Amino acid sequence: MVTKQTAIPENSGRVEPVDLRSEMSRSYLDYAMSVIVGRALPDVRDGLKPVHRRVIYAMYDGGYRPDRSYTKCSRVVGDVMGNYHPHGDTAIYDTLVRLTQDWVMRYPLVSGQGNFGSPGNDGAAAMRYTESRMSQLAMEMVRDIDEDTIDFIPNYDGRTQEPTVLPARIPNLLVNGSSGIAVGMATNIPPHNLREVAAGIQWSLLNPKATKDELFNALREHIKGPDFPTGGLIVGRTGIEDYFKTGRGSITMRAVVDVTECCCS
Amino acid sequence: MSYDASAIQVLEGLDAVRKRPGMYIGSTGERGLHHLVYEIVDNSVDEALAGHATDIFVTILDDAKICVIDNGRGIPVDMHKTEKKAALEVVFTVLHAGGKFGGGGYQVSGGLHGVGASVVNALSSHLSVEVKRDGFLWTQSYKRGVPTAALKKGSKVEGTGTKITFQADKEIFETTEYSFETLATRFREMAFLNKGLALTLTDKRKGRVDEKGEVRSVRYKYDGGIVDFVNYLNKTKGDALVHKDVIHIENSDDKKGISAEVALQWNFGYQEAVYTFANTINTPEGGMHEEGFRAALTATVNKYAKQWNILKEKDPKLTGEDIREGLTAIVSVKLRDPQFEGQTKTKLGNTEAKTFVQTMTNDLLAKWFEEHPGEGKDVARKAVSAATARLAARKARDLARSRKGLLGSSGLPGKLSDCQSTEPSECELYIVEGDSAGGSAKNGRDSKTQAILPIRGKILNVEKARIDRVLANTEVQALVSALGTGVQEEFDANKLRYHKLVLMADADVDGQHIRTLLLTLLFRFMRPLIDLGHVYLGQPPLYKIKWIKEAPSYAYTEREKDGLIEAGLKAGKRLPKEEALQRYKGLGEMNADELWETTMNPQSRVLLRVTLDDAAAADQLFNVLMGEDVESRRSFIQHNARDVRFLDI
Repeated sequence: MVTKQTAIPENSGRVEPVDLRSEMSRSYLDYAMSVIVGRALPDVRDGLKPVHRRVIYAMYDGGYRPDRSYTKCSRVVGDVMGNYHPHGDTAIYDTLVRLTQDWVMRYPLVSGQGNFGSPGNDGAAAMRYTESRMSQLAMEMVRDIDEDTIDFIPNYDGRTQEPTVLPARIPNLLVNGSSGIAVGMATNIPPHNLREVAAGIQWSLLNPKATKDELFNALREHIKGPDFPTGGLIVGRTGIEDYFKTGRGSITMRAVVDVTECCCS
Repeated sequence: MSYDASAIQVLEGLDAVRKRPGMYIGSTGERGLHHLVYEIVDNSVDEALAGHATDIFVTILDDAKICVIDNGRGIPVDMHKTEKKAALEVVFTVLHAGGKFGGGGYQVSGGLHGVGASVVNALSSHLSVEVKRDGFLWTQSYKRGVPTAALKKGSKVEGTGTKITFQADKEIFETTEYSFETLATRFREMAFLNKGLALTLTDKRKGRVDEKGEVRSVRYKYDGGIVDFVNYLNKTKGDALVHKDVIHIENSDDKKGISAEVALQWNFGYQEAVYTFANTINTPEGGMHEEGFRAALTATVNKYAKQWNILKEKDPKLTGEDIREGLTAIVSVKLRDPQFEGQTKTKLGNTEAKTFVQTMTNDLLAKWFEEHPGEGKDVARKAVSAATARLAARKARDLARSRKGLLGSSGLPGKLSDCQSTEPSECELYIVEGDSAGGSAKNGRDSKTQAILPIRGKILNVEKARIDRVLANTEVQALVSALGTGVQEEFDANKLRYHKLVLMADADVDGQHIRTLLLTLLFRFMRPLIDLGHVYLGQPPLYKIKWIKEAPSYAYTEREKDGLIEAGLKAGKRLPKEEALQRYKGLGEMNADELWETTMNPQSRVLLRVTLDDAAAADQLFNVLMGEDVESRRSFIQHNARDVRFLDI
């Protein structure tokens, strides 16, 4: 049995006691809340996590637009990291790559030039090889950003400003979906077809006094269900109706396989 | 005195027993004393084994007397041809005389050397025997092994049986106090091993009464035999059972004169309880029957686990210990010609018992597994998890014992920048986040007493990982071997190489996360470090305030920053228009001298010493925050969301 030892020589300088429990819960809470609020979950207004927003805004701000020529990804990553996102470069480049991949994003927000990988296990080429610029659609995300549509806050070192949210003319959260694992909670939102969602929104704008049931029926009519960039079949509609109604539901997906006969066999 | 022929003594008859009692009954202490009772009762049990006795009564009387009564055939009383004495007298006075040498009196028996009764007689100051046989009551008495009179034929009686009363010799035994509990335990065991036999133990000594003031008496009779035995053992242990019914297998071979019976059941405990018996004699040291059982059990469960892919192809085989974890089993063999090692019969020597038990267990246990797939898989899974735990425990021990084996020749992790001092009480170990911060800290430190260990990224959450994964983690290994104490049971605070362990994470939320992960590791694996107050938290500043033409000031909190700026401006200091404030995101952002000045210099730094006020509550908290249960974590976060100190987006 070890006895309580207090004879550790104390140097000058301050030593203050802190209870293990309070230190644990405070530190953990700070981390958990930061991850929940500011890292892993998207903002409902523009459907973006902070890192996505910073990538798109940095590209807009840096002039890497659809009507200009492609720019090296490493330059984009450098801009994002230096101005807005004080974290690792790989995390930022991975985000950029995913925004480019049309099998990940139903509507890619970045258009890429070079090897951005394939749906298999191929990753993208290193950022010193690849080039990118905003996609046409991404311009809709930032349109009118300078017209005082949204709030800006100082960036991490106070040298510049960053948007708290993008104006987002398109319903990005619904059309591109999002998934994220925070602490104690997680989200997984499927992508949807832009035309369908737009029709649904139009209906609900024209019928602002509709009851919940009317809205549900109209939405079901306009929006058939998720629209995955990789295609595939959804088995059964109850899962879709569940999440339309309650925000939570599970759907079963089935792949479609093309079999090609080999000529030489 | 000369040492010649006259010095060579030949001990006649029972004198040998009185001179060297230890050779026959093991000792002259409590164990030997109780052994006298067992010798006599074993003889009665042998009658039961042969199918003649059904009831045995044992009574403890005053003056260290014991009375044993059975309803067996009674010891033969007719004249013995060669000894020219009554057979009964031969049994009690001649060593190596008995009915258990294969002469047809007994098929199987616990007694085999023919010395039991005569040894008890020799070591008793008084012994009397009454035999009901052939319609008459026969009596004879002995004093210290010598008959006081010839065998006396008494009145006519009904039935058969033997009654032996003896008084242990106070000249021989150091104690003559019998323990009721010791005898009761033994008799219960005997009753379990002899299905249907009733054993009654009564304590008639003066002043020995139970709580109700009645004479203490117990009666044991089990119709389920060793199955009841296993049930009884598992019930008293109280652990949950892996499978509901006791497995019971038995087989016999009349030609070889051997039969075996095994009952076994697994519980979720960690203790192994395998008891073996030969001819109802407990063999605590095991022997051939135990070897056979173990070999077959190990082989069968291994084969089954492989077959059902519970044990993967590349996994090492389960060892006997893995499989026997939580096993309660009784192995009972009966042989015509048992060979024990020594008269105390604690180990069986018959090699045929091994083959017989092994073959039987192999066949019949495999059959049980096939007939009970669900339960069988549970058993196999339990064994596999025991194996994982065993490997983990061994790794933990290895790591603690020889750090050299795991981590190269020096024994210290390569990333550690050690301090020059070897006096633990003045040494400090700084654990910093990443190599970037490690560089700053290494250049800024006082290398005489301060050592630096950079940890890469987020270390493993030990709350969610098994010990084997934890100890395989290189960051954990580095930390453990740098501290030198070992972990958990192997923890030795005297080997601690640094009396201050300072966690110096970056001042952002990821740094805080790493801090919680490190505290979890310390709490779960090196708890005494926290108990003894060796763990500190370094406090790097959050802000640097750059005054114009003045030394910068550092703020450790938001409020301190505001206060410092206000006070500074009042005092006439001026802030530059741009970049007046630097918010430190990581330690790597600081120059080495800044880090030294603000965080590491013992003269000016602020350290928080981690104390543990309520270990049970802390245990609970670690469980909620770091454990598997997401629900409780979410509710903790929701309840405490308002207390958040700062959000970092």
